[in-house]
Amino acid sequence: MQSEKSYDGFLSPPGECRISSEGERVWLFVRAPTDAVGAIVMEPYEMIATDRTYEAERAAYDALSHGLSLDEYQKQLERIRTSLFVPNFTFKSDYGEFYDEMVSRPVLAVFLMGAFEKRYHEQVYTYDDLTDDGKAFYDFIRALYPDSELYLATALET
Amino acid sequence: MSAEMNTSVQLIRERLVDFPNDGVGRDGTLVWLLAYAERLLRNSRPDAYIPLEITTQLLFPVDRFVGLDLTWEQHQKRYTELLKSVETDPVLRTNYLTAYELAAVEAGRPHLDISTIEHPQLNRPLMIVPYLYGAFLIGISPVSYADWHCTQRDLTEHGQAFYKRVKQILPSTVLGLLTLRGTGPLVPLVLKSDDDDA
Repeated sequence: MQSEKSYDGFLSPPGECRISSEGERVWLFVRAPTDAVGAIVMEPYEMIATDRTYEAERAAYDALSHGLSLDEYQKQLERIRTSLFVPNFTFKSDYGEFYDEMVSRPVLAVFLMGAFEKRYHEQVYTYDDLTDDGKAFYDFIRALYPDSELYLATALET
Repeated sequence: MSAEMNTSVQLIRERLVDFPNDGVGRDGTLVWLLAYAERLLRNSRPDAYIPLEITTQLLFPVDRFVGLDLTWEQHQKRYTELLKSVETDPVLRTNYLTAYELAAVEAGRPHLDISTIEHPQLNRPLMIVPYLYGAFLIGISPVSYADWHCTQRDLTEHGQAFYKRVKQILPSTVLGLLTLRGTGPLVPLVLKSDDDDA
């Protein structure tokens, strides 16, 4: 991918390049305080988790490694993500199949905070992993949509 | 314009859009600020590959579309042309899009198009706004208007400042102002239980 100026301007990854063959993208989601307004968007392709759900998702994954069934793991993931993302029964292809990705609950805004051609973060980006400019923009958006909840979603680019 | 949906929930703290005073209906109106990936719009440099995964899209029923400032003039011109020919063109008379909708699509590409994606509860086609680095709901009004769509001139001082701020983040971005009819979610969210009940 050819670099796009300012793609990474808001991101301050905590370490050196970890896996060179993968890139990473970080999206900001503003979850509406009510389901009565907003946009329904697809979850980012190859999303790892959001900053607000990562710990719970990692615990569920650990449980999977220790014998939790795949079916129960997937149910746990749905429960963990349900405040922002739900299984997709909203968008289907013209072949009549629902897309595999989850879809968001209504959001007031969604924005690409940055993207790298390589993967730097071992986990997911949080507020602390934003640059000062990134934090300023995040704070501005949080103030603009006062009753909404903000999420940072980290996705791989494969 | 009230930035509040009701007294208990504040959606947008600052008033960003100056809506007209003369509403003509109670459908309501939404204004979204769109940040397009310019190079995907231009598609003129094959080496400037930007994976689609770093953009997102908005989807909504075509009958909610009022206007996009970037394509408004071409849209109105094409609409006028179609209205002149609709009475004599049998294809247009049976088209599944109205003349207004068809003109919007024909004049709107690549900024918007009709999607192949379908919604299980809607019987109208979905319009897709592709190639977005982001989208922000910046205005909501309980009324609808005749012949009005939001342009940069309709932004308040706060709205102008926000517009410029988003533009500065990504210099290669083309910003658009999308005006939609209605205030509800762009499409109904279908939950698994809804589907099971259907």
